[in-house]
Amino acid sequence: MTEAIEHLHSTTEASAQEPLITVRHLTKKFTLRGPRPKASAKDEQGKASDQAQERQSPRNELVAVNNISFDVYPGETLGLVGESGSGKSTTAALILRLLEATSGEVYFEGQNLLELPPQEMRRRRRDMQMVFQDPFSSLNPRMRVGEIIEEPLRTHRTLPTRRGRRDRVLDLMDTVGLSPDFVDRFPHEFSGGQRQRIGIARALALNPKLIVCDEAVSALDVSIQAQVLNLLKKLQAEFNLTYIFIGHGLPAVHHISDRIAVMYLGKIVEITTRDSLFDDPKHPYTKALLDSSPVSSPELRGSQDELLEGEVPSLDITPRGCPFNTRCLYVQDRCRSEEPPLRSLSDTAQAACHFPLNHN
Amino acid sequence: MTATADFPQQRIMTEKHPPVLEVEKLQISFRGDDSSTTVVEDVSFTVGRGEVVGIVGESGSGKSVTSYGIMGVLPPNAEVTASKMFFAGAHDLVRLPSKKRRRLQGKEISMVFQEPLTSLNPLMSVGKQIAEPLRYHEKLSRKEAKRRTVEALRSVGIPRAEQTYSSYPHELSGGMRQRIMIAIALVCEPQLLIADEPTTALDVSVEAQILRLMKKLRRTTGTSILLITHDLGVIAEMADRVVVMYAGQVVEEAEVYELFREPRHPYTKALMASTPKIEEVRDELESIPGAVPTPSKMPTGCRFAARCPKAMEICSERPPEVELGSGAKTRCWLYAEQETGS
Repeated sequence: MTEAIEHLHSTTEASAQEPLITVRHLTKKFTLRGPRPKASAKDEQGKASDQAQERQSPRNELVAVNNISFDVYPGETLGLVGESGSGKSTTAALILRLLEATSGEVYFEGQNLLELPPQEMRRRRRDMQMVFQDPFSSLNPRMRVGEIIEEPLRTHRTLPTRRGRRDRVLDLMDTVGLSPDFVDRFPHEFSGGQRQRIGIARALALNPKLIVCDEAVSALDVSIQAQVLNLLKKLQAEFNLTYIFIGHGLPAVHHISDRIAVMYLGKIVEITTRDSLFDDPKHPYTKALLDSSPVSSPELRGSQDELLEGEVPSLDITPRGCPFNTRCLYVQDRCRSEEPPLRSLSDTAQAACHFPLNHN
Repeated sequence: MTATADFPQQRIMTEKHPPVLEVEKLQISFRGDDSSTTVVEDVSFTVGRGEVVGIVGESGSGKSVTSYGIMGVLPPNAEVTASKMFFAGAHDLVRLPSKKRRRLQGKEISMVFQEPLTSLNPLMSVGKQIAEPLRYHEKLSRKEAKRRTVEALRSVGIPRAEQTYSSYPHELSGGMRQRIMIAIALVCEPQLLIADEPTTALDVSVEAQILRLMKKLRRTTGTSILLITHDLGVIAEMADRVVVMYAGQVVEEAEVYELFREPRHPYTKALMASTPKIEEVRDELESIPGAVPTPSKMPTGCRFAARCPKAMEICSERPPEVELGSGAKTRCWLYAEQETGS
């Protein structure tokens, strides 16, 4: 209970703080090669014939992340949700400069990362780490666990002696709940949950400020997922870590996030606190996404009625006006011509909708 | 049991007809070079007519192998034994010769898999794939099969069915491919549909659409569904009755409302407590310490004992038995004690 109050306190405090990360007008365009796919084959609504509705973006170009802006405060967890192709993972990769942005700015403690020369960026990266979805393919099968966790220490030359690094590795293994006896084993000797712990230990090695968890618990069994979520929360409290937590399973994102951003077709359509998002969603897409999530008990069957019809349109033929207008239950004429900007609707909530839900 | 009171119509349906599927003491082993590994042991349950039975469990619980055993699609080194495995009260699925089995597969019993892209033939138009069982089982003419296929495509919610008939799997989205899988499975109006993690690879919005489609098909065609999943949310959404599996065994069986209201087995309880829910805010999730035992190192007593918060001395000594019969079942000494005591 006390922890819950502290937590609340820390979030209100956080909003008065300087953000750790400030993202402004971030955009990523990919150039497509080869012939354009037929636009009509995929559109299940049968609206493909209605070409007037669709804006053809310039030939052979796909806008994966489209002019997004948001802040992440120190010590908080920002959840990033959305369907496949919404741009969640691309956004994370742009922040860490694993991909180069087409335009926009990413400030990390006030410094624009996108302008840093490669050498400096490399140094800066020790403050930001990543935990990946698949613990089977993100660990080198030929390296021992100790070497995997030690690698960032060697790369960044933070600990000069072998002895010092070894102690740090054993210490990290203990922190994430792995027995130090396993230090000389190979990844294949571990279960999925243990491998994810190895990935977390590696991410922690350089005492980062930010950890991006890209679907970090999505591939795990429920009971193991709970272990890893608990571990992430414990580490956050212990080291005052900031998380960007990308997920498609709403319950896990709900559990770990302080604030949540909902993405659709490369745009942020709503960003707000966890409770405001789940209790009082403002964007019709958020509402539909919540209603699509399976109920947690059979008693709640049928309580979620606003299922999303159709599928996400292809990114290279995003609709004119509001990107969600082809599937929105509340669509009006204005939504088809004018794109709604992301605007503040309350102290905490921002949504990109001309006609937000429960809003006068 | 109070459990059945919630579902009076269900009860009537199951009592009037023999169950679509009766499985008793199913055991599945895989022969290795010099030893054999048993991965499913003492699994018993029934699926009534029009009923949705969910099998829930984590990796290594044996839920998928159980479903493959029923469908008869295990590799040749698998050994399937059961004291009873009857389909529609008439076909003994353990001893059925392969020729007769093929007459059931895709006609009376059909299956939907998790990954539609690897289960569909990439070189064949989806229409032809749906028509295949009609041509094979029902010996329909090409024209008639095409007519039924287009009908099936419409019934699973595919727009412009005539055009989609000649599409190939790679041209369709994941949700559309899963609809095609369901159309193939249902085109011959089977009595039993086995769905193995049918929505696991899909986005939540598409998952909701596929679950809604399966509910609608059950309502309109009366097909029974055996739904295999790791997701308690999918169970809460779909199932009438639930079979919980752990380390190759059924540890609990109950009517769905009963199971969520009052889970009995410590594993079921732990599974529910470790699942995050959007209705509650918790600082910490309960987690189950340790991991599932591997088939080669199964403990002699209860298979969950090492991870169980309620484990007693007897639990690691002797395996608990499941009370067979109607109503809820729990493979746990806590309840065995209770029953002998009363």
